[in-house]
Amino acid sequence: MLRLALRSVSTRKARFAGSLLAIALAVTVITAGGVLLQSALTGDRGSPRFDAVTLIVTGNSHLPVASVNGQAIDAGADPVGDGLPPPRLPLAVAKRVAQVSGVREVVPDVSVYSQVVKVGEPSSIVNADGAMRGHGWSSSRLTPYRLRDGHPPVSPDEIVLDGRFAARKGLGTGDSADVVTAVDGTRRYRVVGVADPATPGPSHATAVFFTDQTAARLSGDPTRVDAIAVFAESHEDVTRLASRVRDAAGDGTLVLTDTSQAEPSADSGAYVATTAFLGIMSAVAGFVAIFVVAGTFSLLVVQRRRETAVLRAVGATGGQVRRMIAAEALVVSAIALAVGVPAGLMLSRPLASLLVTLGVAPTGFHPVYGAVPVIVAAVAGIGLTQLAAFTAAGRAARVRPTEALRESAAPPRRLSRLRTLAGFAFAALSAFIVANGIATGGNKGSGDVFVVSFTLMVTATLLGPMVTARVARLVAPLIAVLGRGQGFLAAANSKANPWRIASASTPITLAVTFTCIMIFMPQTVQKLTLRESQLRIQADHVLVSADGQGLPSAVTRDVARLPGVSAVAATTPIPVRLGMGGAGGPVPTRTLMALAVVPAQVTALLDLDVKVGRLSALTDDGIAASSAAAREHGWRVGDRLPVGLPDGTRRELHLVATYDRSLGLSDVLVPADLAARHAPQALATAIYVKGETAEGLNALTKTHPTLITLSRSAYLAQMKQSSDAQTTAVYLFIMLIGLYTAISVMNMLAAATAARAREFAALRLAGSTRRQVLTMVGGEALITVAVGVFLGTLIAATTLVSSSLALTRTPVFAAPPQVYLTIVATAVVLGLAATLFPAGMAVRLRAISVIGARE
Amino acid sequence: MTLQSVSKSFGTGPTSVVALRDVSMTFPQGTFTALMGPSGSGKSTFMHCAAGLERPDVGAVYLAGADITKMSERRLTVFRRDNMGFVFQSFNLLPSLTARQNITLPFLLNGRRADRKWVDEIVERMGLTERMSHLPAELSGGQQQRVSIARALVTRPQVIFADEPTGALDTRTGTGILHLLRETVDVYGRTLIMVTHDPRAAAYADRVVFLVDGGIVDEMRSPTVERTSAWLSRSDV
Repeated sequence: MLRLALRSVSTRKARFAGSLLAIALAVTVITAGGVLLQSALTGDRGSPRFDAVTLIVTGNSHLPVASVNGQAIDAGADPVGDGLPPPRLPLAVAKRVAQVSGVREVVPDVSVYSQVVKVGEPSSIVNADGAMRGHGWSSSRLTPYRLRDGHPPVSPDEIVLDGRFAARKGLGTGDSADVVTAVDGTRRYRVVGVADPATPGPSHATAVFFTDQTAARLSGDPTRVDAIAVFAESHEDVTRLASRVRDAAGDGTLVLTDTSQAEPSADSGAYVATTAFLGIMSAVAGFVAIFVVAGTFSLLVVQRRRETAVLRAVGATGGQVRRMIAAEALVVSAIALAVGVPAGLMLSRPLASLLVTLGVAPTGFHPVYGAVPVIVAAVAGIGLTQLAAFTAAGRAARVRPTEALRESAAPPRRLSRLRTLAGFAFAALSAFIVANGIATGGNKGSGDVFVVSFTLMVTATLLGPMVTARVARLVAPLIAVLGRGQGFLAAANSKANPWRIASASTPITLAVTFTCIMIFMPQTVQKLTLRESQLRIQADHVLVSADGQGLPSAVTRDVARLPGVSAVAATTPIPVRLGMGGAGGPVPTRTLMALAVVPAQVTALLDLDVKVGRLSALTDDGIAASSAAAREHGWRVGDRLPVGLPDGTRRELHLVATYDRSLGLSDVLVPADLAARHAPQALATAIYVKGETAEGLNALTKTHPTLITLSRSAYLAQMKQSSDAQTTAVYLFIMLIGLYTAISVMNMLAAATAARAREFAALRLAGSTRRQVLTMVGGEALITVAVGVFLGTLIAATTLVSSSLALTRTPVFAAPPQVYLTIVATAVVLGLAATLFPAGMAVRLRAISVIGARE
Repeated sequence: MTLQSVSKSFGTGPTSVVALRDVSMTFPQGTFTALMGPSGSGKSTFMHCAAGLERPDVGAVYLAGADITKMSERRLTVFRRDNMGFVFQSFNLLPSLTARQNITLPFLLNGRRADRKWVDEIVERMGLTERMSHLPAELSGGQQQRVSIARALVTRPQVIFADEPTGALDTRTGTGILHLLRETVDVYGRTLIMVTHDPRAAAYADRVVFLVDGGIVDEMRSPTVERTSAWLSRSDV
């Protein structure tokens, strides 16, 4: 069979070239996506701040919050929590660890937000520096840092700066600088020295060193530390020492031999974002690849129906036909791999730098080549083609030998019962997903609903011919405008042969669906967020930080003192670990960013649309949740929720209220007092202000250098802008996936058209001019595109509306007409070009020679 | 080969069309039978049923002592491969295979080695020796049809079915093909069943069987062009 397959592939190069291209592109996309995804997953090298240290002891963020009904709470995957610094440790742990034999020395490490600002520098410049962390001078040995100039900090107002930062800012020994911290607000320090890390590298947050006492004070709780660095005696076995240290450190701690994992690196957030972005893009590309490869193969088999019939008549069994097609698929996918894998590997480098340029990936992001993506691409490439060949071959094997004896090549087909049933099953599944997603609501519901675009795609493919025949009937009268004769022929062809239209329009449906969803989904979420924010924000001014880290509580205090200010409310995110899910069964815990608020203030400035309970009851042991989160996890007002707080404390909090307007804010609110006690280092992401105080606020920016004051409208405008920047990256990758889909569309349409050379010749012999034939083909192409655009729009609209309903109970979605029309126009141009070009080639031949030629 | 009370209809209910009504017929070994009749007379269905390409609703088809209507699809396919050969109007050669590969295709499907001497003999008799490494597209219509006759002969089948074998050829080429078909009966002793419209083609057969409306209406021994033409014009075809 392999010989027959090889022979078949080598003589039918042109026909196989199309499927080869489609599969090679699929392999290219999968390889490139895999390499980039792996690079993003393994790219984060961790923080080198503890390079000189043998072991690091930190708090353990994976501790159960509490046990419910005697059942242990599962502390499994926690995407938010894993990206955060671990909980702080009591200083007593350091004393215990210091007693362990083999430990030479123990250094308690403190790490606090400390933004250094050159005196008098405007806040707009601060943004470029990124987050800075302050430590006690004893921590300088952990990297180690070496003093280049000056002396270590001795008195409380002395600091040592990182050499590169100092050079960039033009600061040196003897200068003054302002440092913004959570505890102090802004305070002036003297630069007494400049230090550089012994091994230069950009991978941890820029450091500033205080005296150990100052650092401890700035942490808000001097009895706790962020990490304990352990230096071992020389020749000590690290693994054994680690287990002794673990015993001494006790519960709630983590002993790390890989010190780079002790704190998130400067780029860890960016790597998580890159991974998520690439994950979504790879999933979409993979899904498109499945459809394209399956479509290509089924087309290939349909084209060879007659040949298959001859083989069957000559005595090939169904199994032999199946094996022959599988062997052909193997040959084609092997060649596709040989082309696609190197192409994917080569493509990953420019794509990586593109991601960096767009700001999606961190600066150090570069492709890491490994065996895994290549193996995945190989398995996927061969597996996909074999799967596609298997389904297509099933159809081929059922070809009846008598078809070889008939003169008409394509018999009328009907949807098999199994396929119809499967189609309706997927339609029902889609309806269930939509209903369930809307009922669940919130982020989870809207995420669940996203799946419906996939199931509807499958439905459309399964029931394609049935749907196509109906849509074609609707569109056909419009096509008649092209000219009575040709328009009629085009319409008649489409009605008589919905299979051709259906299979040709599938890739267009796919392209339109995904382009619309990928572009309009983020815009819809943005629009909904903006809409909710507009309704929610009752303030005249919103204050934000220039460095993106947040504002110290001192700012809130100072704003409240300004004349003319009638109300101030700060929202301070703190990570809380919550038990998810209702009573009974294992309870997974997950970290959420809760906003700490003063209830009296927040009700005056934010209209949260409280549904149950009262926000004013959000006192000491209270907690409020969004209606969506409450619904998802089965929380009711009055319930006691076990909560883990950032300092490791566990509390049970009362759910006092649920509110609807959570988009762009947070799913959980906690009282500010609680946050102040358990997360003294927390910074406010926004401060809402009511009152006629623009000048007073502007004056405050002098004392608080990271402060940016915005009017309500400016804040909303900025919100819109920041999400616009994100969509640029999405646009670019959509274009890449779109290009890939376009090539597949062209390929399938071109193959379908080229196969009709005889039909065109017959029309020519019957007296049609070339122009008339082309008009007819163009008319059919228009019907094909119309069907594809119609179905694609329908699926995308269903997904978007359902997602909006799940998120905010309103069927609003964002689809700028010019973007949508561009998508449609691209589909039309591609569809027409892919059909008319090969048809033009076909009619250029002399009709009689085509008719005379044997298939 | 014997057909016993074979009936076949297509479709169900009021749109049902009866293609064959209770047809019985025997084709003795080494004879050449032509099937004639107007369009829709059931001659194609007759041949499909005889070849096991279509299952009759009622009746049996015996070849080499076996009732092929009782065989499973798979067994039937293998049986057909070994015992039947086909010659089509439109040649139906595989475009990607050379003439030789097309001829030996049944062996390829069998997984057996081709009998080289036998293949060479057929090829020589068909006058194809020079064209064996050509693709079908590089052959004339007559040459392609000779390749398909060679393919039909190569497994030494009991029966060869020919469906309008000269329909797509000019008269001279067609005559050559009919001579070759006659030789498969006279020289190699095969049973040949041919569907045709052409009285000149039918004149090469030992007998002509006339079908009308799914039933056998007449049979003619030692047909000639004149007698066959006369019969056809009398029945107003």
